[in-house]
Amino acid sequence: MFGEFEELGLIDRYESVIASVGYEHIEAHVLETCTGQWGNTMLDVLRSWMSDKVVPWMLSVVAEEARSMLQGVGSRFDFHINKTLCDLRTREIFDIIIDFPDSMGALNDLKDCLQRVDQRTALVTALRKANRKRLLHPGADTKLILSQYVATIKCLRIVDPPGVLLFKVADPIRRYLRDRPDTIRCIVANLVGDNSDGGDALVDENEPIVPLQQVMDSMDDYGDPNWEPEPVDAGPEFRTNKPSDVISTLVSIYDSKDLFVKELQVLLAQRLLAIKDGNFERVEKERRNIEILKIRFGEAALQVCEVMLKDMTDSKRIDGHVQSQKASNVHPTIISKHFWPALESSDMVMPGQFQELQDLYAQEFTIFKPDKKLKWLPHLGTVRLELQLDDRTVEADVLPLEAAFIELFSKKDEWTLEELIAGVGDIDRSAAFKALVTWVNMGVLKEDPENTFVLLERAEEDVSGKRSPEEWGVSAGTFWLPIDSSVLALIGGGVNVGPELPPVITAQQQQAEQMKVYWKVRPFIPSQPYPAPKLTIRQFIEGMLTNLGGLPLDRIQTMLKFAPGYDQSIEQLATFMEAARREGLVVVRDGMWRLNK
Amino acid sequence: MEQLTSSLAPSRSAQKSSVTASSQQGAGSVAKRLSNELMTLMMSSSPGISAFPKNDGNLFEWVGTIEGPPETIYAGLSFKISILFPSNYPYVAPSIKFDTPCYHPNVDITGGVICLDILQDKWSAVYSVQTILLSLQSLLGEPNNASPLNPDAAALWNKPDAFKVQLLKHYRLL
Repeated sequence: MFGEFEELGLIDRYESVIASVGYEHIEAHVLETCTGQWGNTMLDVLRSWMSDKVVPWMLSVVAEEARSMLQGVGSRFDFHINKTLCDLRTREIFDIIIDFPDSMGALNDLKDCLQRVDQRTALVTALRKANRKRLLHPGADTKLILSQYVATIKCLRIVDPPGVLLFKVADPIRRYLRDRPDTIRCIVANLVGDNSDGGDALVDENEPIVPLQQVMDSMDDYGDPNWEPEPVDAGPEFRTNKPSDVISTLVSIYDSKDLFVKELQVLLAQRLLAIKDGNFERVEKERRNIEILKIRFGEAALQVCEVMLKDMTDSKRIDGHVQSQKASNVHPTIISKHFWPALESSDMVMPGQFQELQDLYAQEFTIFKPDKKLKWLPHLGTVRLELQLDDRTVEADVLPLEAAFIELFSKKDEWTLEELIAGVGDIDRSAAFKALVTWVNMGVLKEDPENTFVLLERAEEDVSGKRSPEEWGVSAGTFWLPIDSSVLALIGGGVNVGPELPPVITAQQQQAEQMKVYWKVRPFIPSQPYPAPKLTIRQFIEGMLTNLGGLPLDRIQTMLKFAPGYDQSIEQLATFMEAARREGLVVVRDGMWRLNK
Repeated sequence: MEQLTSSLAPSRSAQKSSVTASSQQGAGSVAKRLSNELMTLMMSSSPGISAFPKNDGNLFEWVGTIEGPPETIYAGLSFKISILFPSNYPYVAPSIKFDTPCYHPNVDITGGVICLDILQDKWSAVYSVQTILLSLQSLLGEPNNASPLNPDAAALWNKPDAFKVQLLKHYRLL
């Protein structure tokens, strides 16, 4: 039939129609065969499909004489395959990255396609858009974002080795990660192989451990014989980052590695303090981790961690010595205050026999190390105790606060919440209540009436049953026997220890502490989600009012321009100050705001 | 000769303008340094010391507050000081004086002038408002009785009760 067409001269006329039929056919075929097929390279399959199917069909259309014309059509079709596939992969890129490394084929296809088709900008735009929509929002777990970021790095390295695409895509992710409060924590947790909460490690086990590379400094090495000019679409701020390892890249999200080292110390402190019963295998494990990290971060940066680990072994040694002098139920972990991150402090005082045990231990310790002084942190640690009640014996591993309360009940059987709190020093009411509820749940105490706790010398069968006073019995033979209490002690080096800072407070928690007051009033200032520079407003107002005395609102507003990034209106400031007044931080009289002293 | 002067003239004026430009730039960098110091001071929580610019628009004049360190004779009292930064700060020390009358061996009771080495010959550009305030706070508890500005106070230092009487006699809240 085509032959006749040719004779009629119709082919020339309908060539474009035939071509577009060809294009549509190719498109349909590519979409049908390649969508979601990322495992293998599809390009070769498509090419052979074209030479097997499309080309013979074309041959049937075009007569012998027009072969020469076919050349052009063929290469146009080949281009069209590339373009269709490239478009498809661009649309799928986000999921391809998720599937990495099972999507190697798709990535290689994409790489080949991009060399023929100029779609790099489209790819960047699509990926950035997908990231914004699917990744960089508060609903996504930081860990997830990190692993997707790492996958993105690996994928785009395949597609575009010089890293231009990566640079463009990574920038928003890095900026977003910098704003997330727990990014450092996640990275560090990964560094120490803390995969307790499941999930893949970001770092490839097989990846060799190398020192952190300074990604930032990109002085061109003029003697590099393999130097290549930067790709044409590289922006002015583009830095060729030589293929560096994942950790270096992650650490470079932040400007300095100090943050990581600090977080690492906090994490190590938490993990070391969580070790119970002198489980030295775990200490050894931590030590191994730190040794590995030393290779990355350098010996000097991890000096502090080294001291912390040494404290653990020293504690065991010292404890061994003290026990040999005078056996004690207390097994403290002795830490050097200056080298550990701030630990949570508490004004709790252990009552009764706990205090005696502590004092005895401290005496022995002073004999052993005359120049050091123990400062107990009784609220950390655990107490194993055995309660001997009239009709039963209760054995329990409890928190020190809980132990302290139950110790108080050995004096009398009925205490009000206030009396109990006064008995153990200054502690938070809700914490006290929580500790008491533990015993209530164990059936040792009972709250009756509200805020008064009584000891159940005999187990109560039916809680709702009658409660005659006799049932509680007289606390005849009740005494507490701590079998093994391990309490944390702190060496205060003989110096005035000052207001105790709580270590095992993460960097963010410390930050949160600083902005506590700010956050309380935060709901009244509904502007940006990340008010980083504004955290200092409270300090600025405080500094201002301390030094300048009372100030009218408009003066405060104008003076606040010393605070970088301050952009609140005077109305917003007024609500802020009003909230601060309600909290009792400031007072206002005759329009002059003052600190409430 | 004429040629010589004419070639000199523009270069001189150019030099002059570059000088003014650099001094302007200098003032800018001093202001930047001061606002950084303010930021640091606000962010740090050193108990008992604080300072803030006196007026908006002028970063070179600050008011400070120092609380007497606990367990010293000055405990519970707070002193206002004024801090005046020179335009070539931090290469030159700021001038600092007590506004609250302070009965102290190293402080002039009437003028509030302070005799402290780091504010005079020992000044270094690495010091900051915060270090100055901290030094002043510790000076309260540990005076240098060897070079007193107020000989009476230096003489009384070892008699805390009599010293306290004099201190409270002169002290008044601003």
